[in-house]
Amino acid sequence: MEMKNKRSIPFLIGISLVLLMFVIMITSLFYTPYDPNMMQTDARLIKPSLEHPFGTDNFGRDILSRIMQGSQTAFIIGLSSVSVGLFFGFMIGACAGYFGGWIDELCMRFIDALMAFPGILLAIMLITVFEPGMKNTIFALGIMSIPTFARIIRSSFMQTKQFDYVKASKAKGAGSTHVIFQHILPNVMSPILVAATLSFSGTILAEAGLSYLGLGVQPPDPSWGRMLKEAQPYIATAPWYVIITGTMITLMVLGFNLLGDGIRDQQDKKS
Amino acid sequence: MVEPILHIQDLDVSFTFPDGQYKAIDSLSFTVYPNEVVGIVGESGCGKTLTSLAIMGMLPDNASVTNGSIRFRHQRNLVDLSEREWQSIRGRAISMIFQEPMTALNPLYPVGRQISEVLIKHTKQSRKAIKEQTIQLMKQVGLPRAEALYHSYPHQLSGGMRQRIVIAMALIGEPDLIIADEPTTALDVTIQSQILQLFRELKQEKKASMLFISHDWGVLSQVCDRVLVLYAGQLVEAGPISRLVQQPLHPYTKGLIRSIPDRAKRGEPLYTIPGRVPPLKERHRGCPFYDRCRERMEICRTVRPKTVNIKEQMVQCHLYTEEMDVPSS
Amino acid sequence: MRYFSYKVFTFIVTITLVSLIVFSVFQVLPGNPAQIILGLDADEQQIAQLEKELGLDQSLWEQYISWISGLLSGDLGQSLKYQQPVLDILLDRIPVTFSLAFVSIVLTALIGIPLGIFIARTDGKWVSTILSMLTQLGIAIPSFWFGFILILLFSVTFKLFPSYSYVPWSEDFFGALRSFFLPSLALALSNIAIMIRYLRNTILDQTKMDYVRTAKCKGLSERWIVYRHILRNAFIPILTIIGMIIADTLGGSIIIENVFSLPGLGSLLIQSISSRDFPLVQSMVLYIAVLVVFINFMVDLLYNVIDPRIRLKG
Repeated sequence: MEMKNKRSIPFLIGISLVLLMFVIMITSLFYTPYDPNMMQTDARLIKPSLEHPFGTDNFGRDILSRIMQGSQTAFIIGLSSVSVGLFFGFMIGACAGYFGGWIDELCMRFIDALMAFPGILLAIMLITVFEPGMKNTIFALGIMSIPTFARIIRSSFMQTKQFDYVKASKAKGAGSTHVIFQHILPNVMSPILVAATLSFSGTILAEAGLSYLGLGVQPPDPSWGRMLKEAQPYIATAPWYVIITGTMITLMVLGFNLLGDGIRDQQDKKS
Repeated sequence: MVEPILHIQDLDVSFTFPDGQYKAIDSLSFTVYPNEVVGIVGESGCGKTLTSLAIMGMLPDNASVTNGSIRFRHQRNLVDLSEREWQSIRGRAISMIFQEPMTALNPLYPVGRQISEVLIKHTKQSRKAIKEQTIQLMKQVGLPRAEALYHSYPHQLSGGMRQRIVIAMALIGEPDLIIADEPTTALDVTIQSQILQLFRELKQEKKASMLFISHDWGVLSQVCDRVLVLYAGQLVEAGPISRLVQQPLHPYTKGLIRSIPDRAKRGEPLYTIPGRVPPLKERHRGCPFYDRCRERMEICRTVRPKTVNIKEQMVQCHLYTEEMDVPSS
Repeated sequence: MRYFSYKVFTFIVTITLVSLIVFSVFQVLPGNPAQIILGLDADEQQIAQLEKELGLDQSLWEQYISWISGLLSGDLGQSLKYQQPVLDILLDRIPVTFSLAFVSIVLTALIGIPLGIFIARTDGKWVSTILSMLTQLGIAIPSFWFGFILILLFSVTFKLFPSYSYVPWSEDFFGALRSFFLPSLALALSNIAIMIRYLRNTILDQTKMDYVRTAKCKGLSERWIVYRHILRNAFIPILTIIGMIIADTLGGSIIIENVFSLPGLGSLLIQSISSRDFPLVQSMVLYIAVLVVFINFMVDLLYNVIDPRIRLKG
């Protein structure tokens, strides 16, 4: 019993962080202490105080309000990119695993090719061509996460194909779709869940990087990454701006990573 | 009186689980004398390997000696040794040969170096002398072209050759006691007989005592002087191998002997003892073999039998008393 | 040998696919590329001139072939902004990025390997648990933000390292090392964390192997067993992540160079994007991607050299 509790401490931290971020995001839909875009020229770069718990930025905007609003972007981008990646990853992985042979070989080389673009280079390339903005950021980051999903789905298709009951139900004349939904999907759900959770945090990190470079989310959409870009020149005069914004990104990423690892550990223990 | 090499007295080894402690070895006592090969036999799960790991001081993390003593050459109780003291014993005074020659060797080191490592650790000889000694021993254990083989990697050797390497590794420190845990089980039959031949030769030449663990009576009868029969962590019978094969006393030993494949019984279905070794958590206070015994009595269920010496044999069973002569069965 | 030719084959197929991806992505540029590059107020003649320069009057297939053959012969075309051959510009920038990546990988190894071994050897103790938690943090922290923090700590507060100054190696070796130290460390953080976690897991996996028990039976100390037996076996799986770490370092350097104003490929890439110098962007993206495929290919080969089980099978 003791072992079990010990193991799940990181998991609990993860889920609490994710819940905290979620609550912040939901709250920001209804309430922020100030208008996130309201500039107060007489209140620039104010240190954290009761009035402005996280201080104000170089335009006198309330950082807490902007952080809260930024969490919406983080969640939207995380969820949508993962969905895009999962959708295309599923298509490619399923084709490769189901048909095998040269189709599999081709799909895998395509995945290798996608993985050849290190870090956010693929996203940078796509955004260069398709213009920065929320929609294209989602699209670019989604494509970046295709390989992970495609590989998981491919291997589980390959494995499941070997099982006798799948062969048997195919021999009985069950349609391919039936076989897929009956046997393959339930098996692939849990590794997909883990991969999706971990991709979520990867996407948030990548978005922060892209937005820092000015290639991600564009104003007026709020973004933590762009806030860091804006904060950089004031690193010496207003260190809290940099520290608070970066901490939020870190906590969000940490939360999803711990959650993903925790889910995986629990699955490993089950099997 | 000859000084014993190994003397184990009332040894208990227990596993600690979240729900409590369970005895896997229960009041085990036996002695090994110089130049004697003692076999340990029993089904899997009877504590054969655990006994050898206890003697090597290499019990798994959740197991520990909870009672009794292991004395080596009448000296200190090995159970009390520190890890550092153990290290000076292992490989030098007591060494061990494992069942799986395929995985027992480090895949990334030349085999010769893996043998000589024992001397590098335990002696202060020059590297050159050590290498020569290693090659010498490799030849002795029947490895051809030992000089070339010295630099080979494990995967380049056959199973039989690897087991010879493992044996050389156990011999090179010139230990007083060698524990061989099913050393031939993983090998095919022809290689098995070659390795057994090697063990017989070593017994003649090396004057080392050996604990030889096996479930195969054929193998045991080729190398052992005496055999201990272990059941569910308890010593149920011990005696000279020939006596045990011809005149087993304990119903468990009888069952084991009956289940040896025999040419005379060809065509008949092979006998197996019904049931299985009780799992660790389901052992009770009476005779451990009660559930499977064909000659059980009411007393066996609740009272653990005492050990009884009948001539050269020792048996732990309610069927026998001290005064008895060997019954004819 | 068959394994080797298969690897070469996949290597070639992969880089071909990479080049096709890069080429076709840049084909999708909406509208007339020449128009986009020159801006809305360019006249017809300028556009026609640029189209010819870019080879846009040829078919797609011809354009691809001439691009690739140019790349292979080292002719990467002209940069629109700098009005000089792309190759010259790249040769100028490559040493900076490579130095950054090199120092970063060295830091990863110097910090990650000992800590990974330490955590594995103290597994189950509280130090190990706390360090493991910290590695999670190391993975979660955005490298460029960590760069900010390093600047804040070491340049602004303690003034130990320069923040935004680049010193070439040729000028002053230690000065260069100083100017690369903080960005390399920022870049290395997540890789250090990954290295620690991976090394810990492989060492703990190896510890359960039979050969470790054999080594213990010889009376070898735990230290001896870890350093002479387990580590060699653990480093083989580690090789797999080395390729990944190098790729990550190259990718991460794009951002880090911008944080620390280092004149490397990464800052060039971002500058070229903002000045719409597409030929330069296209070539750079392809070069970096091909480099990553090549590194992974080399790691695959190295695998075979190091592991005698594969090496001797031939």
